[in-house]
Amino acid sequence: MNTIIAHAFNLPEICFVIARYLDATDVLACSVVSKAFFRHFSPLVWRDIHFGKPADFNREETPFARAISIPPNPENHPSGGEDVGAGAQEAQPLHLLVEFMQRNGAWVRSLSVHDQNSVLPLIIGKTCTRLESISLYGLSEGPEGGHDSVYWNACRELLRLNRGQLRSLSLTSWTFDKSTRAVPGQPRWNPILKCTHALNLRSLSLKSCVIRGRHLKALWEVAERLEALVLDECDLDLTLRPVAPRKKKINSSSTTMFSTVTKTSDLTGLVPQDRRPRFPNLRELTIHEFYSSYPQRDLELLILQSPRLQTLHWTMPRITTAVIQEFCNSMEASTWPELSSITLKGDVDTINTSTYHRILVAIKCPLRQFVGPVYRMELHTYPVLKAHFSSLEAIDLFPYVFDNSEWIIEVLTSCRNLKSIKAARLKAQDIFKSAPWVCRGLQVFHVFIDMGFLDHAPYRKLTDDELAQCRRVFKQIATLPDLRELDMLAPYRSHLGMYGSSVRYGSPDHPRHLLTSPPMRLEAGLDLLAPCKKLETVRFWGGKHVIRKTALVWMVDHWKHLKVLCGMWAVAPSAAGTPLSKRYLVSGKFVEWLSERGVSTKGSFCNNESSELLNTDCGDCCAPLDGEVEVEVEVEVAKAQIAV
Amino acid sequence: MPVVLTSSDSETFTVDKEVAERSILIKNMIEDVGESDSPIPLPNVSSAVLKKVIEFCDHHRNDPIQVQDETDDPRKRSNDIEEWDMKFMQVDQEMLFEIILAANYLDIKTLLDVGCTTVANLIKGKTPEEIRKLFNIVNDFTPEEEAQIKKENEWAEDR
Repeated sequence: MNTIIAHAFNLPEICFVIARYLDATDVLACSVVSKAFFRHFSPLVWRDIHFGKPADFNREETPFARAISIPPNPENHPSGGEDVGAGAQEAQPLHLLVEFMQRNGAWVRSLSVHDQNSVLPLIIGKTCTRLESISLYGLSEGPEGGHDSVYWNACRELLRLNRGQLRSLSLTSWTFDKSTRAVPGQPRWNPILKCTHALNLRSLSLKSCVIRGRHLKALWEVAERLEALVLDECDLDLTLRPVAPRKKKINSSSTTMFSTVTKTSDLTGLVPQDRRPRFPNLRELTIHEFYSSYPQRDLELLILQSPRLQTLHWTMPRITTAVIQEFCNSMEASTWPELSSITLKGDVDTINTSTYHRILVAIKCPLRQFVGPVYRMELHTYPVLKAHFSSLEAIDLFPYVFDNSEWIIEVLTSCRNLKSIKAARLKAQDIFKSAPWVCRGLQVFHVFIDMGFLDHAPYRKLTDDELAQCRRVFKQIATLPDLRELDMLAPYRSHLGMYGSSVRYGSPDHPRHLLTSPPMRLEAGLDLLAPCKKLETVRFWGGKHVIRKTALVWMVDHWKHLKVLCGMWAVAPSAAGTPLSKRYLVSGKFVEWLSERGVSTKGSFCNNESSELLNTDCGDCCAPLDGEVEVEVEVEVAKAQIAV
Repeated sequence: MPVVLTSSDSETFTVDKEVAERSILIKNMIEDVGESDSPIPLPNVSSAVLKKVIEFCDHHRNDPIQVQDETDDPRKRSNDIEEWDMKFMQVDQEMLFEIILAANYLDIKTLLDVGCTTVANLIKGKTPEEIRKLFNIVNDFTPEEEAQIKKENEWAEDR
């Protein structure tokens, strides 16, 4: 081998970057190329292992993630020794795996256990000594209560061995029946108990967990070191808080680690007053559907306890005006000087436009995003947002005035860091006048693009000049190489097509009949979107125009990550149930064809409308291509029209 | 103010400061030394390679600087290379790895990424034997060792 190449492959940092862009099988192939390759690639094979495969791995987010499959035979504990003889055929390789991991466990940096029907993942986990990230799916208390002590012991050992490096712990479904008393031998143990010694723990995620007694105490103990916390559908009483650490009284009272301490004497009530904040280092907080608590408590006991917060995701099922007012007051008092990303979800009425404006004005640092359940933005809010354009990553631009097309252009040409924009209507004419778009990293684009064609263009054939304009629009969208979600339907439905007009709904002059989107047809320049290789979701308003197979084939060929293709059409009631209806992605062969290729058409629908526009003019938006032969359908269409 | 760089074979290159500072190594050097007319020696980079590196930095002079951070946005990782970069990387294998080594030494993250993506795209879908052929690598495992590794790797195969 050339010495330069040999030298490069001898640098682990270079192998690491190369491997990041490889698929899991390629990394595996590299590891057996030569001894030098083995040295640098094998540790990457085992870097991020998953038992019980979750949904598809995203190679971009987790480049080294790898699913390890275990033969479905939970009885085969390799540790059990005596089992090995019984199922020799399967136990043998299991045994090998454990031996292999005993030698190479230090390669593993991240271990995820996604379901719990085998103790093997934890036995392997025990061989790992340098885990930085652990995800464990809980063993919930089944009706039999049959817990496996091997499992619990392995779990404790795993956490003990890795407590030094552990930075991230994620627990899902660690629950128990609160109504029954703890029974000896039936553990109410939670991995969080072992984390009090994990001094480098920075990130904790609890999903669908029941946190009580000792667990809660442990949570408050690690709270100080946390930089990221996720509480998702968790059942825990925030008002309980341990008093100053006591002499290990708990240990003496419960010699087995499986009993649960329910003595309230160890926990005293309510809000800490003169104490330092509970989460002095927390940067990111996510609270989701906190059903056992109340927003007031979330605010007082979590959010207000995190003075260094930078990112807040707060879903509030029972938000009250008082809470949101207090949040505003705290914002204005600079309680969180570094808070630059706020996502609020909840009751629309309590977070109104003026609250939104107040919070926005109160933000002192460069804002990354502020997304709330606000459907309309007041006019004077926009200039406040404008001050944050250089840092803004997400924006919802729904103003009180209908037309803010220029605003959208201003955002697209000013916000370099923009990843997501949701807005109502963008006029093609404004796109043509626009300076180059600078938001090269835009991933989510929700906007209805209105071509502005006259004479009820959605219901007739487009002229050559009009098709040329459509191509210009597609060409502009193609300058967004990171685009993952292009939704031209949601804004149409929620802001333009259905509501927001004083014109009678059935009238041909209703705005929804006057808005023309660029047709999803190759003739209109759809193929110009080839650079948007990362598109996963595309939604569009299709007028009355059927889908063409050529367009579908092109999309599936060029958008390898496409998962959702969804449209809405306006059809005359008489057309429903005819062969035509199969051309609208609602049912029929196109839906099946797409589904076979992993593309869902869920959400597509036809709106039955008895407008004369639909009955009289049946011209297609794009002239059919000469080469395209779709005789059988065209014949059926013709028949259907005769029937009408 | 222009910056003067000297390659390993003592050739000097005068480039704009903002171009030179695409390299974090050079940027730090300039910060440490302060404004100075004396050339910056780059003993690990030959003039042929340095020329390519400067061409790349010049083309990308206006790109936002990527923060040097292990936890960078993984969303940015992708095997798609821009057209210009792809053409730029159409060089022989030796030059490709020279560029990667230089990018690593000079600490130019975008160039290292583009180079490594190019190598990754070469490797993709190949068997170990094909990878050996690709880079002219000798298989130095004994048959027993190779069998052992293959057996262990079976666990890591997506099934």
